[in-house]
Amino acid sequence: MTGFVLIDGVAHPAGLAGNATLGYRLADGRAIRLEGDLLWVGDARWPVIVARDGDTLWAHIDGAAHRLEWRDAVGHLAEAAGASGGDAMRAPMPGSVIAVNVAVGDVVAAGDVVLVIESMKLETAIRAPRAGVVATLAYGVGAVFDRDALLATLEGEAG
Amino acid sequence: MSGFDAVLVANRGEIAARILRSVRAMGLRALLVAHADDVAAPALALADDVRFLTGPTPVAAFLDGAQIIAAARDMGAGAIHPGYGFLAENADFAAAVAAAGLVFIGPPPQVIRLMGDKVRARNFVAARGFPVAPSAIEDDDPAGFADAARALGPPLLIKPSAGGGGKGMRIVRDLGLLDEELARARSEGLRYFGDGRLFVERYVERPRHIEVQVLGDAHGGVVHLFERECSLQRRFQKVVEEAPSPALDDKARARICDAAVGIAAAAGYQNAGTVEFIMGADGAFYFLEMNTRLQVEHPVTEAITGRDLVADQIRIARGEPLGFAQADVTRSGHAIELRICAEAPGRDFAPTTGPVLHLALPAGARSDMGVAQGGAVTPAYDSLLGKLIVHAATRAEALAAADAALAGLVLLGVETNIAWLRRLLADPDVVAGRLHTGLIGDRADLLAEPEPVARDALLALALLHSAEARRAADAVPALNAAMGGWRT
Repeated sequence: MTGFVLIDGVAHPAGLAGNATLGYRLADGRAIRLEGDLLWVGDARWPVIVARDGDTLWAHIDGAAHRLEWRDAVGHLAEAAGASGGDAMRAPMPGSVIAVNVAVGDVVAAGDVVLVIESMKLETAIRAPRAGVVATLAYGVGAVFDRDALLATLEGEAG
Repeated sequence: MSGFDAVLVANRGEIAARILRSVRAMGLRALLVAHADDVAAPALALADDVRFLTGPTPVAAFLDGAQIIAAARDMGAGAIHPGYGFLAENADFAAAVAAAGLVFIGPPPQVIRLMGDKVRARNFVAARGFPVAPSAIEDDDPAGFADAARALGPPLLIKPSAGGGGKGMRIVRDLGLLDEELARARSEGLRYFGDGRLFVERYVERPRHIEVQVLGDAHGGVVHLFERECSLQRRFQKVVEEAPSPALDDKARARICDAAVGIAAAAGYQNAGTVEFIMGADGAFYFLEMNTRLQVEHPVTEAITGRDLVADQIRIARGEPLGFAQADVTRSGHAIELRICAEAPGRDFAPTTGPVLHLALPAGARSDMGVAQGGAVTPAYDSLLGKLIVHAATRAEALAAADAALAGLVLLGVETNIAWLRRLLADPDVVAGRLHTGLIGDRADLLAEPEPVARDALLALALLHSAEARRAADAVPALNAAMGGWRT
């Protein structure tokens, strides 16, 4: 079974071989197993602390915390295909809108400030990634959004 | 000032917990105001009594002085400790606390007012012969302000007159962007301080940020507790602080500490305060501002001097004399503080949020944490989750202890700056003590997370924990399974 493990958001191809009866292995043949707070990879032993948040697994290993997510091959490809090009302005952090400088239909140049957002007392300008026409504005002043929320989109030719 | 036996802490997070500990250790009643969305915070468990504040936002609740004073009277508090941020440097609040018959644990309102207006403070200090950087001040000539700023020549640093904590500050290297940056700084000044007035200083390139802790009592006594170096900053906000500064020899240390005492004494300073300076590569230093409150980074001073600054604040607020002289203040070893923040260094330190699924504190460090396991980090407050403070005989040993403490701190569920802090502490310039406030900005190469050494272990862990991956592996016929990862 091959798929991808996202380590802190970076995709690594990974496959699980073996089975519950014979024991599991990495694709390179090394046996892997969990014994309480110990993870064995071949002969190497890693103390781990894990916590789960929905489909995300958080792990502290080798003095650092990492965010792990499993994606099968189909899911990963669908996600990659859905990633936006230069039309979308997404929230770099959760927060709220404190100013909207444009209206739908406005022509903007690359670098124009479309929105100003605030998170944890930090003000950030969201700029147009390219020249175009504002197609959507999803949030008004005062609206609250999560990280990666689609704040605005552009359409039309880059000019 | 009269005595009191109950102290209300009008703050949250790590500093509320830290103040409550000293209040309890002094045998006083420990009282707290909190917001209902913060019930998992560690401070609540340390308080003898808690009142919940309400407001349109949690931050607004902590800025509601009238509500806090009413809670203080209702709970029988004799004094209010404001912590840092929120109302800590609000002279009107300090005056209102006194008018309500309570003791404000901090300096008198007129001193807060003087130092809170950055322009007045700067002029006050300059008039008494202490060094300040060349500047243009909007209040002096609003119409000619931008031109006066331009005439200073780049690089420039824009600051809000009423500012603090780096909010609204902007470096301008291209004078063509000056007007736009002035407008943005003004907007942030209005938003955070209710005051859009600005001033502009010549920016000292590659400066160090060195600050001096002072204590003043109500009887004219003023001492310093040595300096802290806080040059490692991102977005003008400190992330690593240490004491003593690796940049100062005893002679330079005496000069800067004496200047701080002179400024505090001239201002009639009472309680704990911090005089901040910037120091150029040539060793010349300039007054930056005076913070009339307890600082986030006060624990490094506590570590090297052995004092409890909150206890000192409370004794001073009770009207007691300092009880010790400058010569009695000694220091030993080297201390480093690391600010643990919910932020993503690889995304320009953007704030992060999430549940605190697991929290385990490291051995060998003082941990002042503002979150507890089972709590959550929300966008309602700033990104500081807590601090680790280490103290060792030498700077090199303190750096090693800091790295070990960071490695041992387990915080799962929220992205943090912990791994980046470890990379920063290993930077050759940081190791050598060659610090300046632009160092973090210059070291963009440290921002990206390198591929983890434990990559294969992480992959194995993710696979073993994925029911889907296990189910798929189990479904492979036994013969193929025995052959390993065979597939066409």
